[in-house]
Amino acid sequence: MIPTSGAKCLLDTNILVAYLNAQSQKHSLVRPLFERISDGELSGFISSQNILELSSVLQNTYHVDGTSISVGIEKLISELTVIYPNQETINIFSKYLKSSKLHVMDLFLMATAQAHTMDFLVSEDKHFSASKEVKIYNPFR
Amino acid sequence: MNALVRTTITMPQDLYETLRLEAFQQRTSFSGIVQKKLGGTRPKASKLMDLAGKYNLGGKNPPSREELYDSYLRRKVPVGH
Repeated sequence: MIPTSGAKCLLDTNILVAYLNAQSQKHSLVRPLFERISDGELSGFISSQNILELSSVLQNTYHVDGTSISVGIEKLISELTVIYPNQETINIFSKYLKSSKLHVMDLFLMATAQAHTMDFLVSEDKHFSASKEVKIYNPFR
Repeated sequence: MNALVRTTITMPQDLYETLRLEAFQQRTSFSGIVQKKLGGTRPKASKLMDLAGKYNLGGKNPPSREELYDSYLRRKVPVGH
């Protein structure tokens, strides 16, 4: 399902990497989404978990230096709204743990998205199951 | 700087009086107070697209979340310790 105008979209780490990486085969596929956010048609969000994951991937997988990562992160968070885990995140996460077999880190991201009433979690992860509260949008499908 | 244009607008009397009073209190013109108020609501130009393709990271896919966390946690909290 493609996000409709005005939708609140939490951008997963794999989407951010595809957008930042000029050499990714998926880069051109993810650009239209960011153009819609840039135009104000969609609201773009990033969680503190995504910031940590993105920094880790850039540093450890792609060997980007810390200064360059810092500059990229600062620009991202100046253009997207940052959301943080709160008590509601923990409550939802606890419920998910009882009923889902997803990796706990996936559950925590989903719980953060739900606690902040996101309409979409934009992610390439195939194992995310659509919840009633937060829909999944995979721009590569 | 953009060129200025002269125009005519219609507004309720009470809004006009409020703006005129604000202009007087702020020692500016009626045009000045209208520009100030509208300028404050102008959306900031997004620089999000400046980040598109900021890095040249090659064609390698990023690790899954499991790979990302599990390998780190195995190092930090080895089984048996």
